[in-house]
Amino acid sequence: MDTAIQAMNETIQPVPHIEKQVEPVVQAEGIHLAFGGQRVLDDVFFELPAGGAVLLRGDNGSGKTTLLNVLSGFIHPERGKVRMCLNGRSLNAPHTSPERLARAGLGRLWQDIRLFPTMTVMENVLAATAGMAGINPFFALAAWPLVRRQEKAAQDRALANLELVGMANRANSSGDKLSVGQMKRVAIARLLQAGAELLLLDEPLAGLDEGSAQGLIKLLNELNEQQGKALLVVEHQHERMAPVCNRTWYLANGKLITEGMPA
Amino acid sequence: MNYLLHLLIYFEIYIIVAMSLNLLIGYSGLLQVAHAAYFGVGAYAAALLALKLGASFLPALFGAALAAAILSLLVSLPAWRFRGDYFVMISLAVQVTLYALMYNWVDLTNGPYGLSGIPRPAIFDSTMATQGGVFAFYGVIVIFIAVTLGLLKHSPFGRALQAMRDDELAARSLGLPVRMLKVQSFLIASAMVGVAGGMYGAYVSYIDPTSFTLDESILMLSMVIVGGTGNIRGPIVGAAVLIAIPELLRLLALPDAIAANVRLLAYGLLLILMMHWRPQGLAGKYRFE
Repeated sequence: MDTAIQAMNETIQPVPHIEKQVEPVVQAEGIHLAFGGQRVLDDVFFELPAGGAVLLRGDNGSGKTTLLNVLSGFIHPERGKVRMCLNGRSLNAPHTSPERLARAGLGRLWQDIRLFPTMTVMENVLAATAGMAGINPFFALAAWPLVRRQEKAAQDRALANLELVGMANRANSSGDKLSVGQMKRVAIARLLQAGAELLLLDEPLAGLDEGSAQGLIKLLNELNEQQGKALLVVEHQHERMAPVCNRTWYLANGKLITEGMPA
Repeated sequence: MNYLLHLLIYFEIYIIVAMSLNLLIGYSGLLQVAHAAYFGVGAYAAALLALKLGASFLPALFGAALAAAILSLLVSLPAWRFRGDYFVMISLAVQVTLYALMYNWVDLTNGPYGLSGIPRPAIFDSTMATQGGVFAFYGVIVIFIAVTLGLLKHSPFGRALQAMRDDELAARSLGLPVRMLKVQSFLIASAMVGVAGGMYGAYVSYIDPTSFTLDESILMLSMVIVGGTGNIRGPIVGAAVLIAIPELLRLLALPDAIAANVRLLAYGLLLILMMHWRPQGLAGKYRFE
């Protein structure tokens, strides 16, 4: 890995500007973050174009998950700006809560998946539905017929999303009775239900057998190419992500140093 | 006085208490130990409205709900930042503070002497003179609150609470407004237990701070743990069991000096056995964790 990074360093400079298409979905400028004096992110610059698919590589502890946490609003960087353009809305990420970012269209697939274990697959997906008036309890009581209509529409959409990820036949199964691969598919359906336009995927292939991994790769490819979802993927099995990601970035010693085709 | 009806009226009041606490513990995953204080706030608010302003029963109950709901912000706003053990400590502090206010704000609450002569339950100027009337009237209120909670449980709000309880981080990453959900669930649960407090004061016609201590909060918590969390049945079963235990102990004809201690021992033993053998409670849906 070190040799590869060194070789890349010699040929390619840090990436403040990648390419100008439509407005990038994420624009990061000079993100700096340290934990207890340890530099984790050091002046990280990048632009993720709308509909782009990027593989983020780096050694263990290089700050990949931390960068995802910064982008999704769970950690505030000490310096730097993150601008996002999601579903036509501009957001200033370090000053926006994770909840608002998610509602705007940022989806996060956690390394440990985090399905709601006491809910069924369908309930897991429904819980992510954006814009439900009935989430306000007073409205839920005062306008029950409207809430039921919205619920019906949300169920139809949830079923469509479950069909897309191949999990419609397990809609009534409990969230904690699925295989890892199935859980990841449901987690992705949940992000689609929430209206995610940018998916931050942390180790999506971890713990999957060959068949499940191939299925998930195909699904991610469809989401990127057919639905135009932007992907930022942290994955150690980088060669397997080659069919999905059209560029690779390296994170080493806190710096985002390069891009190129996956090896 | 018909003793069985008396117990059944207590049972109705404690069904509301346990159902409202279940909204916090069972649906939202928030371990509240100040519920008796909010029960007391409701009881004092309704009693003071009736005694000092001459409010009739239903407006007094509305005032009780409002007072308890407003004071719930004392617990729900810190819950934005604190979880687990830290949140329990804050909730404990609120219990102790509200109890101290009831005990020491003599001008308002009459301190340890309490408030007596609270008007009995009434509807449209028709006072419930008999226990049967009170039982029926309180039964309607219990059904109203149970239906309200049932509707909420099956609404997107109920699902969002369940998601927050299962995994708060995942819920936040999906855009669920967990801070607002916490405030709302405390508002609703406190308003409901405030109503139960108002019903209690009107039924017994006398209240003092000793009915709203930490011990009482733990009794309420025990009802939810023993009955089980996450559904409507659990709190009803829990309230029935915890009200029945002291009555069953009476059959042993223990001397007064030790009867109260034996009752506490029985509660403790029951809780330990439940935690060990049936952590989801007698009729609950989820393990209590």
